[in-house]
Amino acid sequence: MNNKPPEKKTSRRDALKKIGLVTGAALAGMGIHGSDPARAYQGKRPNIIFILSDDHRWDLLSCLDHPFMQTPQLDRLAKDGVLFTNAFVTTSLCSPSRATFLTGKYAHSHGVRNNVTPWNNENVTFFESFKKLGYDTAFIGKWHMPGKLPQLRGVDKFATFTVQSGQGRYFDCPIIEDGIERPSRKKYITEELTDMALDFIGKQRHNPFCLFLAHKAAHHQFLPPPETKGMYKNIKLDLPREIDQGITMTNGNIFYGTMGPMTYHYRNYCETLTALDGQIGRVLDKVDEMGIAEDTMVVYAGDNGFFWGEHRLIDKRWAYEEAIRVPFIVRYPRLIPDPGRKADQMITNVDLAPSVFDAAGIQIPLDVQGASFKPILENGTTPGRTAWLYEYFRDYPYNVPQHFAVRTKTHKYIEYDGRHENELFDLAADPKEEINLMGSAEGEKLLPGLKKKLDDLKRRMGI
Amino acid sequence: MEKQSFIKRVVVPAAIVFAVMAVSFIAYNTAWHIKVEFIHKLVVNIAAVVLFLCVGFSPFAVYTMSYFRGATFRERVLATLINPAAWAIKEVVRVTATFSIGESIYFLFNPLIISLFAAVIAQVGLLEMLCRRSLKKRGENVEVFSVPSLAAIIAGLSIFVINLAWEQGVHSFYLFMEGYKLLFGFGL
Repeated sequence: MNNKPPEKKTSRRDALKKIGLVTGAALAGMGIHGSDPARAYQGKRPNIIFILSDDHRWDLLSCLDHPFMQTPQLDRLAKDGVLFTNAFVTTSLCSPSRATFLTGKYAHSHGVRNNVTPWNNENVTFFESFKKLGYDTAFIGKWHMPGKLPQLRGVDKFATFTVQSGQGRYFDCPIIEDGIERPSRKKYITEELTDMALDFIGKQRHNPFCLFLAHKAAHHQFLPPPETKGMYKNIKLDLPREIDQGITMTNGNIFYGTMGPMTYHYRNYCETLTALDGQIGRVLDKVDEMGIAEDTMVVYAGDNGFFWGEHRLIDKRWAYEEAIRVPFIVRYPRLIPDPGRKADQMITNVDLAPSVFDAAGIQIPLDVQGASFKPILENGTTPGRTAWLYEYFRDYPYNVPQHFAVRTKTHKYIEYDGRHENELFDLAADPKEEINLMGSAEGEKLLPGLKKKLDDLKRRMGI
Repeated sequence: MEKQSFIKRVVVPAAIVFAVMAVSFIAYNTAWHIKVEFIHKLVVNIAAVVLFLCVGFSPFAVYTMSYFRGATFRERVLATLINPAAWAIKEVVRVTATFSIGESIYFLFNPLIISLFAAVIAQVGLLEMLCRRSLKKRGENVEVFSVPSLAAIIAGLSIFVINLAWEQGVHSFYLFMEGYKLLFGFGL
């Protein structure tokens, strides 16, 4: 008699589990964190509120000691959560970055490589997984993905605008709400979008909810509402040495919509951000008022940074710090044991999707290219990633060549297509990236390692 | 009016403005290296204004000089177009750093360059009448008012205003981009 138990065949589920664990172990070995897909979710699934701003530079927060910016509500969010001081976007441009937040994939993967390539509705957004779990879902605000407005799967409410190629207007912006165009109820777009968000949050419901609130602010034309207009009029600005008032209008920069002097636009931009901050406060107040703060993960991030004269540039796109670094704040009281912490681990926009999945106990799809930062929220000593890939694809008519870069904790290496010289910076010694080490003795020593890292990252990410 | 040599009536007027334009362009883009802040700001502000005038208003110098040096209408127009054309070509060359030859040539049709040439047309119309008026004051028998001149002013100003005043050029830009997508797709 054979007393041995019958040989157990490996099921597909077990195989996937093993692949996931091996991948997770491998990624953990590289300093990137994944979720154990086999772990059963314990406890109440959180509500998710993701607030995305436009062109908000990482250092324009009063809690980061900006000389004059007032962002009391974002400071409040940071005080009650975790402020990531090394948060980045993998492509510094509106449409690709937004698609990356939604899908957890790089631009070359989701296909929205620039502001002209259309959104492919075969792309899977994180909404779909939340909807399968019974969440109420909403996308409110700036879609700005080229092509027609999609029928987004997994989204109960889709409210956006299409004027000015999806950029919207600051004042009297018509809204397309679930396919029907209507005039704006409020004069100022940020307030209008916040009202819609509050309506959604405040609905009577049995299910948790997932809200993606994408603001137009503070994109050009940088128009603040009357309440904040002029508040920084007399402030002495501390702009970089290499700027002059005309940068906004020379070398094709005027195509960014910046007709007028630099300082004029910068003040308007700051005033627009302070107004946005006020509206974010309304969302936080609503969450508090409803008593759901403990069970709500609020994430605030910018879609990309912005130059205000650094390197004699305006706008974004280039792989320099001012363009690729974004504000990134997470509040989720159930998860974060030490609110008010500033986390310096490197995270990117491609990490949002896996992180919200992880927070909600959803298995992270294998094709998602980011890593969950939930372990960092839970424990500040969790090591972060050691390097990540940046990519930028040509976007006519902006004279920025296609380039790829590797950003480590201390260095950055940028490889350009075309005739632009490659660049290598020691970010610790030269945080303003003024000294290109290519061709120098130090650069020669660093280049092989960084080049290998870049090539490895490109290969791993499927380029 | 004495008719001067071709060089003096066509080339020299354009060359003078070209030289000033080139110097102000270089000064504008390099002045930030000046360590003394006050001089830095002074140089950059003066260079910016001079450059703007050279690019946008060169006909006032070139057309007028050519006119009073005896250039024919065609020669005056040729001389006047040299600097705007040089600026446009410089822009095309600038974007070849990133884009193909075809895309770079298409860049000539962007609202700014169209507006520049529209402004030149309007200025030529105006200057033709101003120069005739000046001649008339000197006792020459010449008609000041001319329908083609007026038409040039109206056409030039209209194009300029529509291009740049229509929501600050946003709509013209989107039209330009629609043309690009038709010709080049997504540019990747």
